[in-house]
Parts: sequence; C-alpha cells; structure tokens
Amino acid sequence: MRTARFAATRFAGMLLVLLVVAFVTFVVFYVLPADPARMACGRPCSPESLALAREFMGYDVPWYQQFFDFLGGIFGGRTFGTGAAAIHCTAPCFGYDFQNNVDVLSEIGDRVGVSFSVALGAAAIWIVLGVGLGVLSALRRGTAVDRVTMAAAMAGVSMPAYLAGMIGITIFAFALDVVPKNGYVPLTEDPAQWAWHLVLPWFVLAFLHAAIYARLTRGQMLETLGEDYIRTARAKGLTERKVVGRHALRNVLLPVVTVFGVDLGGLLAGTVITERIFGMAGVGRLLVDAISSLNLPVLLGVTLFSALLVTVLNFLVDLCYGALDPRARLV
Amino acid sequence: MSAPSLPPLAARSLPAAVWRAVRSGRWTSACALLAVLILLLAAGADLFVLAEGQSLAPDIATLGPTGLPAGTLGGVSGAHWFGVEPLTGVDLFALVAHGARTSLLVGLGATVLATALGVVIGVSAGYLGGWWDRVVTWTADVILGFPYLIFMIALGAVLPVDFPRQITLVVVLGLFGWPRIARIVRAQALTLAKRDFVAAARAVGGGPWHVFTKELLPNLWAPIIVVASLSIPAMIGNEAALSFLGVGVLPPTPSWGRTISAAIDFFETDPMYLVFPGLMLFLVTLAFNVVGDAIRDALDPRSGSAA
Repeated sequence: MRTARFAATRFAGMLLVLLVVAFVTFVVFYVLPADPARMACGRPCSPESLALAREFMGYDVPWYQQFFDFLGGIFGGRTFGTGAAAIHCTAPCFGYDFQNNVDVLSEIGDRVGVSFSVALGAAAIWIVLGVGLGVLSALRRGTAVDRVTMAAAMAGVSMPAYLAGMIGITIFAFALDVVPKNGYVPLTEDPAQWAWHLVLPWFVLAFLHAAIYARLTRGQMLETLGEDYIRTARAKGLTERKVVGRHALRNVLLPVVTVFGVDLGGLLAGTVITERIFGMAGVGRLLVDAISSLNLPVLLGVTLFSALLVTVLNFLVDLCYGALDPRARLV
Repeated sequence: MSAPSLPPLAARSLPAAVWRAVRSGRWTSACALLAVLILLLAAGADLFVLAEGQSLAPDIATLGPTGLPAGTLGGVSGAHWFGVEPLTGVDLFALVAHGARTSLLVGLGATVLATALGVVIGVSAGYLGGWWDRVVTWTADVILGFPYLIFMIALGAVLPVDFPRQITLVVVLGLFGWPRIARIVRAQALTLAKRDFVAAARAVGGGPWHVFTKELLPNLWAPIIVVASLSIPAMIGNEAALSFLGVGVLPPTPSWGRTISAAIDFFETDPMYLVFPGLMLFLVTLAFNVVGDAIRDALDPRSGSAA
C-alpha cells in the first residue's frame, strides 16, 4: 500500500516534470528566429507560398496554440494540411520531419536501437567495474591496487569522451587490429557481431564513467566500514564476505544509485559523441544531422524524446531507491 | 628548548587551508602549477604567440604538396612550436594558446555564474524554507535529471550565427549548473539557520540580507570553494564537447573542442594535430580536478578520512 502510494506520487511528479520540460523547450525553440516554414518553402519563396507552408506545418497559429497542438499530437495524433496532400502523423506524434517526409518518432525508432545498445551496454559495464573496483580499493586501502585504481579514476574523470575514443580506436582497431574500427550490426541480425562492434565504444564510455563510481564507492565504503553496525556484524562472527557484501554494500549503493539517476542525462549526450567517433547511425547522429540541416521538428522531437526517456528512467531509479532504502518510501 | 613541530590540526583561515591543501603533496603542487601555467598561457596568449613570431593567419608556405604540414611531427620546429594546421598552415601553438583563452573564459565564467546563482538560491531556500524551498528543490531535481547537453546542442543549432557564443555558453552552462551548488549550500544553510548565533543576529534585528552576508556566508565559503573548484573542469569539458559537435564557439574564434573535431579527420596522416589540443584539454581538466580534490579533502573532514 505504502509502496503503491510512493510509486503513484513519483509518477505524478514525473508527468509534471515532462509537461514543464516540454513547455520550456517549446518556448525556447519558438522564440528563436529560425523559421522552419521558410526553409521548407525553398527559394525563391513568394509570400503566398510561405503562408501556405506555415499553414500546412501548423505554424500559422499563436505559439500557445502550437504547444497544445503538439501535446494533442502526442496523445491523439495530428494531421498536417488538408485534402489529398494531407499528412497524418499517428499518436504518439512527436512532430513531423518535413525535410525527409517522415514522422520524427519513426525516425527515432529506426535509430534508437543503436543508441540503446551503446548506452545500456556501457552502463552495465561501468556499474559493475566502478562498484567492483571501488570496493576492492576500499578493502585494499593504501596498497598499490588502491593507488593505481584511484590514479586511473582521476585520468578517467578528466578525459573527454572523444579523446578516450580516439585513443581506444588507435590502439585496439588500428595498432592491434583486434576490433572493428566503426559500424554497427543490429542485434537481431547477428548477436556476436553486434557485441563485437560495440565492445570498444562500451569500454570507452564505461572507462570514463566507471572512474566516478569507483571513487564514490571507495569513499562510501570506507565510511560505512567504520560504522557501529559493521563492528556488530563482525562481532557476531560473520564472514568478511557477508559483512561487506550484505551489510556494507547495501548502504554503499544508495549514493551510487542517486548518481546514476543524475548521470542518465549525461549518458545520452555521451552517446551523441560516441556515435560520431565510431561512425554509428543512432539518435545522436540524427540530432547532429538535424543541427546541420536546421531541422527544427527533429531537434524538438529528439530533445523531448530524450527528456521523456531520462524522466522515465529516473522514475525507475526512484523506485529502486525505495526498494534499497525503506526511509525513502515515507516521502 | 624547541617544541616538536606538530602539523596543525586545522588551518586557522580559509585561504591558509586552501594554500595548505594545494601544497599537501608533490602531485597536487605539480597540478596546481600546471593550472597556473595554463591560466597564464590563456591570459597572455597574444604575447606568447608574438614571442613565437607567429599569428592566427593561414600560411600555406608551411605545407607540403599534399596539404599536410611539411616536416616531421606535423611541422614542429623552432618557428612553429606545435607545428601547423593541415590545409591552412595556421600555427598550431597560436590556435592552442587562443583556444586556452576561450576554454578558460567559458569555464571560469560559467562556474562564477553557476556559483553565484547556486549560493543565492540555495541559501534563500535553506534559510527561508516554506514554498520557496519546495520550488527550489523541485526545480533543481528537474534540471539535474534533464538531458541538458542534448538541450544545449539543439539550442546551439538554432541560435543565430551573429549571437556572441561565449556569452551564450556561459549563460546556458551557468543556468544548468547552479542546482549542484544550490543543493549543497541549501543543506548547509538549513543546519546553520538553526544555530544560536543566527537566532541571536535575528533577535537583535538583523534582516535577511544582514544574516545572509554576515552570518551565513562566512560559514559557507568552504563548501562553496570545494564545489566551485570541481565545477571548473566540468564546465571546460562541456564547452569543448559542444564545440566538438560544432554547436559551441563558432569560427573564427579558436576552440580546443573544434580543433580536436577537425583533427580527427587527419588523425591517420597528422596525429600531432590532435595530440597538442587534446593533451592540453586533458591536462587542464586533470589539473583542476586534482587541485579541487585536494581542497575538498582539506576542507571537508568527511571526505578527508576517506582519502
């Protein structure tokens, strides 16, 4: 009952966040002087055809009306234009890409597999690696293992993703020639090749993030191991394995989960850069391409889609937090 | 008779504590020196480039027949300390030195803005409480979870070209950066607000402004310095990432991120073109991170025990 209420409160909060994000994004993009209708109209563009393009794309109404049209499109779909030339965008409609004549969501859908493969694989590796190394460093505090891990962590925190990527490609793809230089193979086509093409991006992204987690876990673990209840557990005669694994780790993971929730937004941006370096056509590439062609509906759609994704994932993180720490459920 | 010289348990003043943190180890001192050197390079970019005898002007005489720099290591020589840029022949040291200025200006500017906003918003939320506190906490949570780099990428794409980019970057990075500082400052202000000396100040008729500047702020400098010093490298990294993607600082203003982005295409033929700006970016981030870390260990007893 309490868990259900906790989940419901968080869910309502999530919807509110999304609405605010959509509103802010829409206002920012609307007040900027870029005019998609003018770009779609081509050159030379007579005032009549510009007005026609505006009307067709739905830019002829005040901005708040456009905002509601957009929101309506997400829930009920919308139709651009009238008569034979009308384009229908089915719900959920995140906008329509007039440059490529396709709705934005299906564009995202075509590429989201790449981005998810990169992001989720990397996240899995860095959590295991980061928490593992952090625990190891804390238990072997002051030894060579600890110092090497912490020095590597410092380098990882300071390294920009594209530099790490370039170094990784140089060493493993060019010099040693053990992994592919770029490209992507869908999971459904060939799982082995899928993983093989992703190994390098995974580890590059994971190296950068694992650093932060290793440092965090180490500090937290050292603090937790000094607590009274750990001494009690040891006094009861529990094995060190149980003391660390069962009693300490649970408390150590709380801040790790919090940081993970915050990092999700950065992870999406990380995939934009990773996709550029490793030549993969994911959502990040869609965004970069939309920048160069000033494809406003795509920019808006991708921004909102990532906001939606991050918010939903944060909601799940919150639920995890509730499961780890009963106190959090009381909110 | 001489007393045994024991290391003091706590520094008497904040500047002394920071100074001691910086000098706490050889590694930290080296990084602090490095940060200062890069700051000097950025501040005196014109001077250093003048001393080298070069400018930001293209010079195709330095290029070989294929458009790549003539000579070894990307054209490194006494005249061109870091070599030259492929295809244009622009001196790479001049690019890197002026790029340092862009990087540090944006990095420091965004940190100052984020810190100022974070402190004012955080203290007011912690001290005043009530609905304002709830609004601030909620907004901070939203911004922290927001994919802000994606938003900035999209924003950078639609801004008009003649808009001053450095200022935009400072404002946008600052606006997305304050929640980290506000959260920490708020938590501190919350505990401070319950202390007797704050109650005493209020009892003798001190207004919110007096309490903020005279009672709360002096006790908040330590956490503020820690978060701010660690936010500088993050801001520098963000600027470079945005410029790398082509939505940060626009040409002709030199930027490490943009140079690195261009250098990737020449990586197989002219690796030094990537090495110099890449190494500088890595070093400046590392230096600020190490120094920031040392300051945190010195000022925050909790993390100090963990080090």
